[in-house]
Amino acid sequence: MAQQELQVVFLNHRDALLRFLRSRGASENAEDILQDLWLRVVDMDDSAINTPLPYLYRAANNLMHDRFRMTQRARKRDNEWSETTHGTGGASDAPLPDRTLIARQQLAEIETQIGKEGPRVFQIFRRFRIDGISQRQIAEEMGISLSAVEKDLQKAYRAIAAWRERENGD
Amino acid sequence: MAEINDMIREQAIAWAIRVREPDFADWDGFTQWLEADALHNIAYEEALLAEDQYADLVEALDEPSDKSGQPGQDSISHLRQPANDDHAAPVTITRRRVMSGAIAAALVAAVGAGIWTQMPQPYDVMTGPGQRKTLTLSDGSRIQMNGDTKIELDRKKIRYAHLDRGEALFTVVHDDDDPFIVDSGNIRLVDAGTEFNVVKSEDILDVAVSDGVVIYNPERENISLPAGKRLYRDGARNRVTVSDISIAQVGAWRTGQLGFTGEPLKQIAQVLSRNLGVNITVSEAIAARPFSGIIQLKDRDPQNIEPIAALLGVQAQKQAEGWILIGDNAVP
Repeated sequence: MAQQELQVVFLNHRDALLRFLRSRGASENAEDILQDLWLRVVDMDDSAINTPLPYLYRAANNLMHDRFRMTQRARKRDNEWSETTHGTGGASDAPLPDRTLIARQQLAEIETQIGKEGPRVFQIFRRFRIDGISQRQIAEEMGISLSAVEKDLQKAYRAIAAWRERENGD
Repeated sequence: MAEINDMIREQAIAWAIRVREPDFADWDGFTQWLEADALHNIAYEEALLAEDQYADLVEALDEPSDKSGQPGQDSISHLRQPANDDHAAPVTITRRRVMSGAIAAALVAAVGAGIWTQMPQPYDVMTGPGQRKTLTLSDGSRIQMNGDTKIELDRKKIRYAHLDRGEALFTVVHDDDDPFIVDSGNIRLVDAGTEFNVVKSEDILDVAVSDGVVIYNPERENISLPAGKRLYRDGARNRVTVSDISIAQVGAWRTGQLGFTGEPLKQIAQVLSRNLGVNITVSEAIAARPFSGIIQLKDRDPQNIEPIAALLGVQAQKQAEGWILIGDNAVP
């Protein structure tokens, strides 16, 4: 029965999923996180899921990324708090309209940085990451090879990483 | 201290892109890459944070500008968070999960290591007998190394590998403009497709193709090997033979299955040593004797070679270091 397929696949691949969680940095929390994943699976109507195993891996992958972001945020908040108390100033001190301005400026900077790799690079990245279009589809749309799409995407990711490095590094 | 270098960062970006594809399926390969080094996961998260930052900015700025029936209160509460804080977590949870010093240090190192040179940066990857390793290159190509294998790579030449010795299965991301090249001794293999296995031991080079096409020595013999073909070069006799091979048989060593079609026992002993991690030699008298058949190594005790010797029709004798295969006593 389709209703239980996801659960069956989960149980059959429990060890592999656990191993994956560990490789994604779950360490001693891996069992807890797997349990968390299981609770989501149990209540789920899986009739729309065609490929259960990749679905489970993706869910596990997202769980780990959410956790990582949470940790990052906690760290950032602590840093901002200490910056404020030590009077060195920080983004959190800015009034709200300024924060919109800052966000606009950041977006413009990132887009300029990606744009330096060529207009196609920016266009492809935008289609891939914001519109959620697959690389194959982008390749067809633009009449270029799949590997050209992949290369352009790598350039875009690299450009953002370089921007972040400058922005965050002292 | 280990730190995230350019190579790891490039690999992380390649994985972030591949994994995001809706039909991504190579979760095993991804797990293996993550397991190879704890820094890989941090580099992968960094790549995700970079793309998130862009997407979050787009989202944060698009929403307030869309004024259709949106109360102003909503956009303000949205902006109260840092820009990338789209689904804020309860403070009670986040406060407890303070990042460990090691990870924080690694992230600082990652930010600091931005120097990019154009100099060749060769490095070797080796496996001991019986050991295996999977490498994922930054272009997404994979090299699965069997035991006792040495490969030279170059951080500045991602589409190149030199197989010094041993055996490896190359699963190459094909690019018409930038073919992947595998050299071994003075032999050159150029991919015009995707998956092939290469064995190098002393004078022997054994290439088997399971997907796409490989060109053998394009500047000289220029032999095109499509999927299902195997090229066997005996350097000592300077002879090249091309034969058929079942595609399922290519790289079957990964599942512990070794297939032979008339190779001399001397070579088979090397294959066994490489896979089992035990030194196996052959007495001179039977070194050239050919063997055809399949040997399953899975679940076998590497300390007991006798059952395998029986399959080969010979006897195994324990030595100070490993085993020697000798002729069956029944044969004069």
